[in-house]
Amino acid sequence: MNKVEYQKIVKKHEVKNNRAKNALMAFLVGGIVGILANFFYDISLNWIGLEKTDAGILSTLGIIFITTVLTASSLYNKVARVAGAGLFIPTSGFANSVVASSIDAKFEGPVYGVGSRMFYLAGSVITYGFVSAFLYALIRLLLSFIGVPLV
Amino acid sequence: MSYSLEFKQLFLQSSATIGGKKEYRGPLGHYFDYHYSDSYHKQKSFEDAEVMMARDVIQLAINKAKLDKEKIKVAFGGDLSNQMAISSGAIKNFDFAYGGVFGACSSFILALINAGLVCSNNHNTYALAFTSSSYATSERQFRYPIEYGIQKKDTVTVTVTGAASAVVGKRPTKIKINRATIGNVVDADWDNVNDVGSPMSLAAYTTIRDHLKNNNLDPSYYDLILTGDLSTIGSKILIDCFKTDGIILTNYNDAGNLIYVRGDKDIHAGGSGPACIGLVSMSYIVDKMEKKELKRVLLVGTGALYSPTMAYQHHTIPIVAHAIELEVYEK
Repeated sequence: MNKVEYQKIVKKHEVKNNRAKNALMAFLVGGIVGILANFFYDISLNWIGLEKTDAGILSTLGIIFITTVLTASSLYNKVARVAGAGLFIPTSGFANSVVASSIDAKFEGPVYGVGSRMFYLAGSVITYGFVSAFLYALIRLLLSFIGVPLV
Repeated sequence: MSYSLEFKQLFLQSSATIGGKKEYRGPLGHYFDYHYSDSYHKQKSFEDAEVMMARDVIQLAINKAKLDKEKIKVAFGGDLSNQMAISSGAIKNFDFAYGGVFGACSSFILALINAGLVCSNNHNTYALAFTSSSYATSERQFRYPIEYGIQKKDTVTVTVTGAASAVVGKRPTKIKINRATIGNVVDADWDNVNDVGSPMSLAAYTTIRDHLKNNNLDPSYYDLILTGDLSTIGSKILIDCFKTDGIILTNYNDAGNLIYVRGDKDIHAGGSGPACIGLVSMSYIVDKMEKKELKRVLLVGTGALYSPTMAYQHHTIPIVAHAIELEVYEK
């Protein structure tokens, strides 16, 4: 058997991921997370009587809180295995990555462990979040020179 | 080209295995000497628990060998942790000369070969081989935090939690160790770390082919050819590789496909890790051989010698496989 034949055999046995099923699950679960966040939003707006921006923050916090509790009780990854991007893309994905990294790093203590490894996975999101915010602001600034208002 | 060697009068003195919870619940669970019910086993960290598991399995193998303690002089062992910290942590509790061997998931077979070589030339010397791996420590080291919610690919394998150990020497027993082949490192042009079963099949193919060629054997000489952790995908590739050479492998199986309950979704493509072939061969296979249900077995440990750092730098994964032959000894 030569290398070309080997590559052919490997190709033949390649496992394809079920993208349609993954997309559908992401759509459904992502939607449910959205409805849940909106539920928190409505409660804080109408029942607690918060301002619109504060209500938005509270609904995000609600998702983060639920994620943290689920992650700490080892339930989150079981759900996420099925839900995929539906839980990964919303704030829940970010919250989970921070909590999971912290739990994992607890053995190495507060400094070399939790402190430095908490953002092991979330670090990229923060870094590139800053980079894209900067680029966005730069474009807005350049547009303001040709007459597009800044605010 | 792989290097084949022959042992003079070498026998398996004892074998010991400790499995994790999930492995114990698998179809081979009742063959293990002992099992741990969780990843901590009353220790502070997953690493401590694995060290304890390796230490216990070494002690078990020594006890089962029923030899004077001074006769076991050398130990070879390896695991997946950085700097093989688990093996050194476990062996420091014993008064042995120790050589750490690294072959990723083929470490156990490599340790056995080394132990065999020491005994082959020394009468009255016994040597010990051991390995361990743990889902929790491997996950932390090679993949993501354990509680991280990620959709795993169907091609990934699950690192087996367990430890295996064996004592070899010249005192005749029921199982003889005849030959071994140290494999050469192959490059399958593969960098997908989510599927290491597929490229490992090339190393398994190379080593088995060379082993058969060097010893002028036919695959049917063996009652069973057992690979370590090729996953469901890799084992199919291996069979097809031999098919292109006109050889039909009928007596073949993969330890990673045997150890867990078939069809369990959390298992993905099967079991992996150095303890995978260690657990299966030192419990189930040894048991079958002692009952003479299997007479000649070729154990092929397969290892993906991959480092996360090198993988992030887009290097292909070097692959290796080592083989050792066990035979029922009849006086």
